[in-house]
Amino acid sequence: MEPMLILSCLVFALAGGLIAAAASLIPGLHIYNVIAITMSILFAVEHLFAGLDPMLMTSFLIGLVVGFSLLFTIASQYFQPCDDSYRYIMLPHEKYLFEGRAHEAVVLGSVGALVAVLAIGIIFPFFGHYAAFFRDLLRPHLYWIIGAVIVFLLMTEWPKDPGTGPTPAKRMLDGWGSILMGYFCFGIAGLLGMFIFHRTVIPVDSTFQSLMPVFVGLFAIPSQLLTLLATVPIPSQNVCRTIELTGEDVIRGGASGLVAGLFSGFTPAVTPGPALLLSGHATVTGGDRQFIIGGGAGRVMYYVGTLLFFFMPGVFLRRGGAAINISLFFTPETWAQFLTIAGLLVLVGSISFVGSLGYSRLARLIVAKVPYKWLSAGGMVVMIALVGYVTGWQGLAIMGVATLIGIIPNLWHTRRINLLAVLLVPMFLNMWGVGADVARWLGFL
Amino acid sequence: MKGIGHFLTGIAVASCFPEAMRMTLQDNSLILLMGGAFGLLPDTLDFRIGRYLWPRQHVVTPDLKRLDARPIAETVARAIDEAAETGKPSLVKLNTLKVSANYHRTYSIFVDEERKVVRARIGPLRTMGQVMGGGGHLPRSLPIPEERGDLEWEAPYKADMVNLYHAETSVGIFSGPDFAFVPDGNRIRMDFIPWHRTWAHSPLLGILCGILALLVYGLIGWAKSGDPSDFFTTTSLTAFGIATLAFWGHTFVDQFGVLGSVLFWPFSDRRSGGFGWTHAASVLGNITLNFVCVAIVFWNLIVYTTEANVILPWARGMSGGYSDPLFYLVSLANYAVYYVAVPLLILHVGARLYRRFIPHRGQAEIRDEEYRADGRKSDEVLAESDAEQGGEATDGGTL
Repeated sequence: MEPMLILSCLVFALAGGLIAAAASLIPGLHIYNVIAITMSILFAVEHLFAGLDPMLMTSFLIGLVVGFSLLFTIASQYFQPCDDSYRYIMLPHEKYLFEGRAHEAVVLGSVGALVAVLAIGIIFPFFGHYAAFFRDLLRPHLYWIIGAVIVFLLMTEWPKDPGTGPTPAKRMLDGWGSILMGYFCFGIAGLLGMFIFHRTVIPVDSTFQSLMPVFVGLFAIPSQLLTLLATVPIPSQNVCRTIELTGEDVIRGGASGLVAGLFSGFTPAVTPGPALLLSGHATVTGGDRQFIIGGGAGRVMYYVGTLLFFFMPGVFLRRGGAAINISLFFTPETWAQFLTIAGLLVLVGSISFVGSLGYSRLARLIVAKVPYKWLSAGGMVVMIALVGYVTGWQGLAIMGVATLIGIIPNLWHTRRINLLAVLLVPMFLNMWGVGADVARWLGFL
Repeated sequence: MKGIGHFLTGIAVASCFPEAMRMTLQDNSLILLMGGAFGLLPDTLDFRIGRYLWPRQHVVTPDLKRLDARPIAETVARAIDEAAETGKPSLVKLNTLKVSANYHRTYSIFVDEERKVVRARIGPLRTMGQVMGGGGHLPRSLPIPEERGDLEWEAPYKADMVNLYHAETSVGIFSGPDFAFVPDGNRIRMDFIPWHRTWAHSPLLGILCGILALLVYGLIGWAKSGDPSDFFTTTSLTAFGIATLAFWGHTFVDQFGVLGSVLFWPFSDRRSGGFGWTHAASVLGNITLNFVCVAIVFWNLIVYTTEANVILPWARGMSGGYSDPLFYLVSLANYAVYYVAVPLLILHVGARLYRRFIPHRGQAEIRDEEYRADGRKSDEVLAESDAEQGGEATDGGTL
């Protein structure tokens, strides 16, 4: 590749990183939402970019993904306090916020992200070709692997009751009430997934974003709604100069995240959430610190590492929204392109890691000056506008239905992870070979 | 072991059946999932059903408005003496005290068999993440106790005890623990979470599961062909083998810990002791089990998935394929050494070196072997209980 082209790629990647940083301030916004709006704009003004090397726009999207995957949790870390009257338990990063340690949580997550960036940048170029072997080996087995994830999620749905009922029947009813609500969430989300996968509701020119309204509805809007309803104050946040962290925390948390990221990267429909659940159990992660580090590493490995496989000659694994969108205008071919992308990735990742420390301070200032409800309301308006712009009124209607489903786990104290049935069920049934039959039986075809 | 280890054990067992792999690759069968499901089933039965059916004669629910350790200690002491007087097991349930969605008031009990007292202590507020709450961090909405009784109390009992749990039992989050005080000769034995690893872990139930799988697959075969002789086919017998062995695999893996299971239910309700090589909370134990299971599954994928077309270095000069016994064994040996033994060796040696040269701050070394073994027994049950109930801790914070 020409040095000038590489330099231009670097500029575009950094621009992508900057836009990611700006977008990351909007709580609830997901990287794929930003990519969706970017792609819509790109396609709308396609003639302006017609003469550009596709590597440049690819680099821009790489910068966007890398920057976002390191920074986007910072907004939710500071701006989304957990009101425990709507939730069964607080997640570790939410506890840190209430202890005035949000900055510490950001640092821990960034350490995990850095572990993943280094693993991707250093290990992938040397051992990445094994990915082709695993892809070929696993390809005929993916249907039952996704099925295994579903079975494990359902079998480990656990009773949330304290077991204080006076009779065995009452205790059983209390316990199974929450278990059955979890199964209900799984079933209804799976039904929505079957509908989305087998019915074209979104306008044809936006079908590549058909999942956007579903995910915004299931996860982002309910989170913002709960933040709007929350009555808890956010205590003043301490910016620590040092954090308590052992090598074991980094190794175990990082390993858990890397395993989760790789597993979700190779297995369609399995996102980092359920993958972290599985890898956390498998590697026996312990404590809040390892959880947060694992989350940071898992996110980056999934969003960024998986994307790098798309560029790897001989592998070209197209997984995740970013790879699918890039594949609309760019076909990777050479090792030079791969190495350029890997270099950009490490560079933008490292800059984002350093930037995350300052970014956290900025978020701390914002949350001290602006009521978090205003931030959430603003984020919600932006997301609804995005969904409307990209997918039209049909997308807004789907988002509304998804939002109703997405609220259920919060009201019934079941696991939100069941909502991922929206992807798991249709993908499993399709790969098993019965998706169309089931959709026909449901009246979706 | 953690649930994922049992699940993977079941899948690994299933993948060792050639008919199961044939069905998976040619018929899109879900029979490997059946292995995983039956591998996890014993704990599912215990934690979703068994715990509710277990009777309780004494229930301890301290009053949140008046924190008092005295009724806690006295109830447990009374249960011990009741077992001695009646000659029948006496069952106690210690309820948790939920203060808010994220905070629980903790308390603890300790049965001191030498002094013959039950000591109860009211503990701090703790979050769901077991972080102690206090000072300015506590939400203002938390209810404040109206009055305080004795925050620590010792209640005497008369019976002679066999206490296998020298450690203090803390009652914290989720559902509180159960205890059974069981007459054992002239003394009273204290069983912790007595409903766990009983009937649901018995080999007999494994055989019943196998028969259930045989019935399902046999009837499907019969219904498909209309020929009753298609009830007993390779497929239905494979289903029987997978369900039984996956279930037994769970019990077998649990035996590597200290606690063991009730192996001879319904003829005996006593847990056999485990081998004591590891425990359910062990990081290395769990990772080793999971790694070995995944390695077994991958080996079977390599052998049966022709698309991958793998020839390992030691078998490169040999003719034939995996259907040739010599080629298979040489390849298996190569795989076991390079891809299983070496990584595990590196992991264990690395962990040992790490622990040796980088000691944990504030970690006291427990020298008393007996105490350590008993502590591990408590850890084992608690770890499985936590794993069962702690799914939310790693629940999709990230999508």
